[in-house]
Amino acid sequence: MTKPIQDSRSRPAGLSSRFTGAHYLRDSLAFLGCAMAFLAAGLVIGENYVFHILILICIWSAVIAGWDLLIGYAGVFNYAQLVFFAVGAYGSAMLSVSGGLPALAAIPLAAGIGGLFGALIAIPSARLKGEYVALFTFAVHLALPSILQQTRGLGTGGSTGILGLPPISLFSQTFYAIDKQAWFLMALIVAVICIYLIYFVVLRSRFGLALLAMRDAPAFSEALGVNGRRYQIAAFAISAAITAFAGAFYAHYTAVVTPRILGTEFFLMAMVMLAIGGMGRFPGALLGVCVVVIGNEVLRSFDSYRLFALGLIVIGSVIFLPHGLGGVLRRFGKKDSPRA
Amino acid sequence: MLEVDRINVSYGDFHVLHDVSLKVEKGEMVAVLGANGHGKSTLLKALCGLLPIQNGTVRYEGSDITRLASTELVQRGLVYVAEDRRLFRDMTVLDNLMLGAFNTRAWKCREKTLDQVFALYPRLEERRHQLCRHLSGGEAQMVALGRGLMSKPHLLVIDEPSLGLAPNLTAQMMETIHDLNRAGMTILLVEQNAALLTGHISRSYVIEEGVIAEGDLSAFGELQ
Amino acid sequence: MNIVEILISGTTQGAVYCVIAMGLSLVYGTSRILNFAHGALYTLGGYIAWFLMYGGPGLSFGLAFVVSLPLLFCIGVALEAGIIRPLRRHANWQINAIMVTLGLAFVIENGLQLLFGPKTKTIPAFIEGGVSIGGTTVSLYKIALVGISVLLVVLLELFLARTRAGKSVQAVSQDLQAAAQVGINVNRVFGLALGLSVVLTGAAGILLAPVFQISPTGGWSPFLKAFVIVVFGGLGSTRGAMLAAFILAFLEAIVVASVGPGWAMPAWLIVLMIVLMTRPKGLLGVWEN
Repeated sequence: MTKPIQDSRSRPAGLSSRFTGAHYLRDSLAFLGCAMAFLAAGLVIGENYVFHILILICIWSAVIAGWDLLIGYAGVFNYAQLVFFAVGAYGSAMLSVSGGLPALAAIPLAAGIGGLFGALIAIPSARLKGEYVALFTFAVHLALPSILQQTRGLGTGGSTGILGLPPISLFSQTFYAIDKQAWFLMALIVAVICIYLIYFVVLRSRFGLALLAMRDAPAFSEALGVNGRRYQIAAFAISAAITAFAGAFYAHYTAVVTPRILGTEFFLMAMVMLAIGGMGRFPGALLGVCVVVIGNEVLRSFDSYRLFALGLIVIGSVIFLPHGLGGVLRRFGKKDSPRA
Repeated sequence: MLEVDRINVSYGDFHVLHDVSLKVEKGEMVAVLGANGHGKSTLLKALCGLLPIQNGTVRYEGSDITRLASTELVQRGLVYVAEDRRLFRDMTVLDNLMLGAFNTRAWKCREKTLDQVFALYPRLEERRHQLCRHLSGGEAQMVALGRGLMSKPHLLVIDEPSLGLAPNLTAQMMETIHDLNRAGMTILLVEQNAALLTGHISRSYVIEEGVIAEGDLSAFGELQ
Repeated sequence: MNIVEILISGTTQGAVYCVIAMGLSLVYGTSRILNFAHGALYTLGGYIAWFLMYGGPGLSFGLAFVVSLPLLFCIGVALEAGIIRPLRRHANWQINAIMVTLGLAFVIENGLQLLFGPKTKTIPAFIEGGVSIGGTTVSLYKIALVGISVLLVVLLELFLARTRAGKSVQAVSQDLQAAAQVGINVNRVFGLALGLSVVLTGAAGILLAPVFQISPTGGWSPFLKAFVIVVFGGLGSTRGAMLAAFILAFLEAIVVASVGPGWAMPAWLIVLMIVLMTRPKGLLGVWEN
């Protein structure tokens, strides 16, 4: 039986000692080791279809890490993460297709635009609490396709999107999408950098600690006042820039950008990843990415039921695994785990 | 009437009450004394089903109520009056009192109980159509106690009745509570102002850092 | 479009928005849950009525409407008990509630698509014809729509203000702990509120089916509009929501008439941003957000 009165403050996860600087080197090495194992596994299998799936895992990892930073660690209920992804993809597409920039210049520029856009969304959000942020950001997400439709004249391509993005050229060599192995290597580098930046640089800094403290003790964030708001805006900008970077990279990989990236499927996928992986419980979210990307491929034969099933999985995992795989891992990790 | 046997209560990771035991006999007026932040309110809320009890047992009128929700407890006559009044601020005095009689046992005789409450506090009858947000501290406390009485309590649990009241009102409030006790109602209350209780209570406990001991008023005086 | 048309369109839309927004506000007010599936449940209402009329039982519009309401109520109560209540045990229940209701929205949307296909469905209006007001023809159906919507809103207000159960809903939304203290079963109130909310949004979905068509994904725009209305009116204030519903419906009618229907949704979003930046507690807001 449950007693009805509960603390109404939301507290996604306890402040973990993992993020107070202890074992920094050990954890970094463990992470790089995992990345190397991932690389080795990919190269050993060496099949184009497998490369494609691994590339998707890498790109999604960067996006979800960015989302986890906001929703899991900063406690900001942001649902505009795919908007940042779309801003990166569209930004890079417009810069390279209409602007004629090479992919290598367009991608970081698009990431910058994404960061600015993130800050722009953060300014109203930082003044709001909980669900208001969720709704405001989700409203931005829902409105973006119709805005893209209305701004066709600016080169967004309306519902058809933008076709023919240039491939990435590096050292006078051009990597076409067909060269899966090269794209796998690049995607892995992108993912490793993004994940390392978020979980090891940002979250283990003083800034990261301030975010955690603000999430766990709302009174503290009020005490921080203006600074607290600045921290949140900065977190938004970082998360958005990284996500936009991933979006831009993805756009050049697929060579097309359509409003489909704002559709139900992508959004649900991202939600399932976080729901299964667990928010604010590194490396839970990344495990969620692997499980969902692979599971999604397995489920491809049940195409019409896939989205329905994904929705059910979100509900099921939130109810039965309220802290996701990350929570499960942690429970096995130490015997004296905090109460579920 | 109420037997509390070694209960433990935590807020999140913060363990507030350690093996707290106490007893209230029918017809008694028992006080729990203690300074702020030592777990008095937590104890009362846990007893009244507003906070979960981790372990230990609470028996009331002969049955185990440790895991029962407040709805069931109010139905059985275990009624809590909060220290911060907890009125429905955007409702009238009358609505607040009527909601006190929400449980089906009290609902049947709500008009009669209302007359009794108005007899006790004629002030409330005058102000019955007033929104509670516009009441003074003293009036708000009257509504809080009146709402508790509307629930037809067998055991009335009162959290710091003197909190936020002007000094001349606190003595009066304690007198009212004592009158209720003389009329046969069992009462458990917490207070940090021990001096107020002199001459009113049957027995007292002292709670310090979540640990309880039976004691008398003078002992508490020494602690302070 | 002339001024009369704007007035008429604003009134009809405003009345229906009222119904949808009050449902959303009711659930947020009592259980502090922003129900992301509110729009999907609106769609579900339309499909239930369509099914009752054409899918099997072959009921008339009126009968289908009346039969749908208790069905919708049960769905709301079951959802609260089945997927919302288990969340409250955990400290992070608010974010989980958002996740779960969003997941539910997608389940309903895709479930409907699986059952009924992606094509839109229509329900014909139960009354034909129109009357002329100031040179513009107004369909009788729209007038009936306003009438039924107003009736629903009045019934809800009476329920909340006059009945014991309604008082307990108000009590929970004003002070959860106090409600528990006086012996109100707050879980039951949460269920009741979600049940009523689903009835309201589902009823709106049925009533609007003859005007717009029913499609599995059609719920997002009413949901977003309802949210903007609730924020603009002030979360927790039903009067504020009513006022905001009409103001925004007229604004929408003006935007549609002057710059075109494609800008309706962006206009709502802009209003939302302005409200959040300038007066986050809304017109008649009870709570600071």
